Amino acid sequence: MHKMNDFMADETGDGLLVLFPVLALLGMMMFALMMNFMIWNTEKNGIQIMADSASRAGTVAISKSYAIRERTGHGLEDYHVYTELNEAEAENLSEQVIEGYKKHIKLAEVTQVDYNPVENFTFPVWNSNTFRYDNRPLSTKKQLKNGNFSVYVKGRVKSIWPRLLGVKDELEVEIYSQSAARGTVTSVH
Amino acid sequence: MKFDDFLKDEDGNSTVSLVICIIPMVFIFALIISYGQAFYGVQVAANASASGARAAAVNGNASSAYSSANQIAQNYVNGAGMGITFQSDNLEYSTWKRKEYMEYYVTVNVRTAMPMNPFASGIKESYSPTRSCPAIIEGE
Repeated sequence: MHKMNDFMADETGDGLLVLFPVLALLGMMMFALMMNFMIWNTEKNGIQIMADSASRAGTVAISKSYAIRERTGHGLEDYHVYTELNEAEAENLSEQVIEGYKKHIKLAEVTQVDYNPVENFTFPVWNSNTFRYDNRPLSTKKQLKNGNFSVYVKGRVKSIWPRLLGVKDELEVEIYSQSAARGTVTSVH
Repeated sequence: MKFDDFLKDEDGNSTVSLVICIIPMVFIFALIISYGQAFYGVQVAANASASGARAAAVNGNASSAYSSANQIAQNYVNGAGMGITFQSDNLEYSTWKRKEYMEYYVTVNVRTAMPMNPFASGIKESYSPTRSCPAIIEGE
């Protein structure tokens, strides 16, 4: 009776019958992995462009820009420009861009989109009791007037790599993009 | 004569089999490069359309928006290398007013390292991906 090794070897004793399918399988797996990286890279780039365009689109929803005359620490007057952002309209414009871009992201699926105004914006206010400037944070409503608009997209990119060796067949990507609004001063308070 | 002997030269070295193996390896390598070019071409088209769309969005009227978008996309694509050249573009919009939706299309031409079948569109050595980027018109 042949041993398993003899059965798989050719007439010269080389293990080509074993080696060829093993090498072919390894090659196919490497090719699939490489294709996966290329697809992942392309889809991630697409999601980033989509998020950038969406955050940029949100900044178009500025309803009003105005300047507030404030004193600086040296006693000089300074103008701080605030832009007022219509949050609902900003979300609507961003959604339009995301819907328009979705046709290109064939393998990726957008699962979450968040719109976050800048949260930690402060401005100096003169305190006549202590004779110095206090850095006061803006209220939640006024924070929207900062004019920055950000989009956070959580996407899933499906992979062509099968469920081998515990490898997931989809990859999660998290993309963040923020755009500063461009406003023109309409009034000085 | 055994098959294994046929692949060896007179000194018993496996030079012949080495040469036979190198040819398909070169083809496989060229195919991988071709797929890399195709994927890169898609990214170049996407980035060019995004840059063009951004330039178009801030312009006040449709004709200057199109010319600036076209200029940016052409410069971007032709500077990308890897056998990728600018092919055509298109600016789609309904009305040229602030907060209106518009879309800018860019098609690039990728001349691949060897004939391939990119995404089941037929075996050929050039590939023309089109990508578009939507934007909201910002001009007053």
